[in-house]
Amino acid sequence: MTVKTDPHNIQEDPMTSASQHAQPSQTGEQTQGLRLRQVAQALDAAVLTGEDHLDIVVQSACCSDLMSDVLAFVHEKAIVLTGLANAHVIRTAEMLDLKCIVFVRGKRPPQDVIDLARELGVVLMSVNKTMFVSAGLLYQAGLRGSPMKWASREGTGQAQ
Amino acid sequence: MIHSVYPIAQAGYDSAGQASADIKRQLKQLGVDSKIIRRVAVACYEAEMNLIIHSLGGAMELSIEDGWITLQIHDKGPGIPDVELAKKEGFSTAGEDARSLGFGAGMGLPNMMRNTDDFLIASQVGVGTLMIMKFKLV
Repeated sequence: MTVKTDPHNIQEDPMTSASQHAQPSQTGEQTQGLRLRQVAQALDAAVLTGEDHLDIVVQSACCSDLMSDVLAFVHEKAIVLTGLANAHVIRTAEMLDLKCIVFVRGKRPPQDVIDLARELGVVLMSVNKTMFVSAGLLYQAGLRGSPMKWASREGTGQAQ
Repeated sequence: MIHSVYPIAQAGYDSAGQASADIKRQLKQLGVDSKIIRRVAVACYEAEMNLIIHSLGGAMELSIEDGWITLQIHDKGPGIPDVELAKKEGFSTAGEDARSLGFGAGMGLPNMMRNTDDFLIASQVGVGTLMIMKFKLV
């Protein structure tokens, strides 16, 4: 459509051109979301369950070991980074329709918790890094924090 | 009209969340708006955890009628000595067992109040606590 004047593009061959055409569809999503596959790559995480759902796009992340805070603040398309590895984390995800939980500090929940997540379609990952470092890597990869407002009031006009 | 009763046992940590999950499923099957379901689910799960952590046992009752979803939660005690204090963010009397499971942040009642269209709590020490949470179905 437009003539490229960037000198770097002058010697562009058809292959490069084709690969560059592919880029807008990847980055063209207006938000800075990440596919869960990219989340796993950025963290070098082990996927404990939900390999089939790694193309889901998430927009933001939240770090907490307090499930009440997660219930209060988290948006739907968010992932939760937590050091808490029990069934309450999965139930919290279920209540909020969250698609992915990342267990930090090398934690792995017991098998019955993994089974529950599989049943509910929640992706679980485990990463051998601290919460701080994990959050930093995801921030670097393009994820941002859940806005500090009452997420559950979003769209109802009463957010505070 | 729909009316379901879910008994909740004191310290029933193993089955925690099952009643709320079932209520959420029911609302989904009825085709309730997902934003409303989310608010009900959060308030309901907090209430269920409160019953498990603090009460001597109780029940949650779901009813849907005349454009409203109503959750009535009642227990057999021990009752809340200062309800206004319990409503404050950050105030918690949860014990170590609840905290180790990720609860006891003092966000339970505030979370419930913020997600409901109509919220009522009454409590008497030695008798029990009654909460009524209403959500408009529009």
